[in-house]
Amino acid sequence: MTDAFLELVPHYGSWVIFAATFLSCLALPAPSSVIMLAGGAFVASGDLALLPVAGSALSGALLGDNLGFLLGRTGGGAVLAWLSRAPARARAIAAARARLDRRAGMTVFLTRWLFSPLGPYVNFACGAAHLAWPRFALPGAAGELVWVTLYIGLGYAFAASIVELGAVLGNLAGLLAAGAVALLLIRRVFGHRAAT
Amino acid sequence: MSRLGRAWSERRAALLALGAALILVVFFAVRGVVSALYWADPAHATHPVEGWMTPRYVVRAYGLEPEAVADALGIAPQSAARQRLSDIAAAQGVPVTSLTEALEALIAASHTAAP
Repeated sequence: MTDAFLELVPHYGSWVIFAATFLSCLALPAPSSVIMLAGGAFVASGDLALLPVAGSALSGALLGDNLGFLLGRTGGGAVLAWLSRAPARARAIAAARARLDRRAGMTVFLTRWLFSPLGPYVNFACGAAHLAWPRFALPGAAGELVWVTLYIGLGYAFAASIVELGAVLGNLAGLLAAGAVALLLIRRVFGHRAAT
Repeated sequence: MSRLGRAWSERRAALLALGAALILVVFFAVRGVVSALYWADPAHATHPVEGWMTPRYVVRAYGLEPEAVADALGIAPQSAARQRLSDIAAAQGVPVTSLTEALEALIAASHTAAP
């Protein structure tokens, strides 16, 4: 499965890297981490040039993030209204919205790279919560820069082991994202004072 | 009523979501340990040569001489960028395994030459 995606990278170069980060920032299944690692590895081998690889990864991510934000802003209100029919859920959504508003910068920045599987949902939530666009876009761009630099840099440095590295990093991202969600839910379920 | 019982009656959806998140935490933790053990085995330490690789990638990843790689593949020493082993095999009309096996032999020879 991974091999089939790796086949695409030397052949299509920047285009497949752009498509991968764009789609994965919209929560669509795309193996963006292993494709960025491969991009870095093929820069190291001299098959691809650094600037197009890094530029396409970053522009795909930024475009995907902002499209997700826009979708949240245009369609998120209807989703929130539908979810808020039950009073208990309405309270939970209001609390989540207040927390997002207080910590928007750090939440957006860290869900670009450290908790990256949560990124697409944060994009949609920020748009739905009508967060001011610069409060989303600036930490978002900074976080995507970290994400792209990290994965392309690791692919460059460890070109021989990108398949193994992709598996380790994918697993780590899943662990961190699930752990972060679990902590938020523990506060929600058991910590009444902390959750408000 | 226990805290868990109270949470079950008052915040059932959040508690169920928490259970699902904890199952995922355990799943990723176990999978991480299993793959760490797998790659700790020296037999799995080097990734095998595969069709998606390019001659330049093989040179870089396995620390080989460009001329030796070109020779093993039967191509010109200054190979064009972005040519996959699968492309080279198709152009030569041979199965890709014949190229990957030639490179594996080259890698094995380089290990014995310079341990």
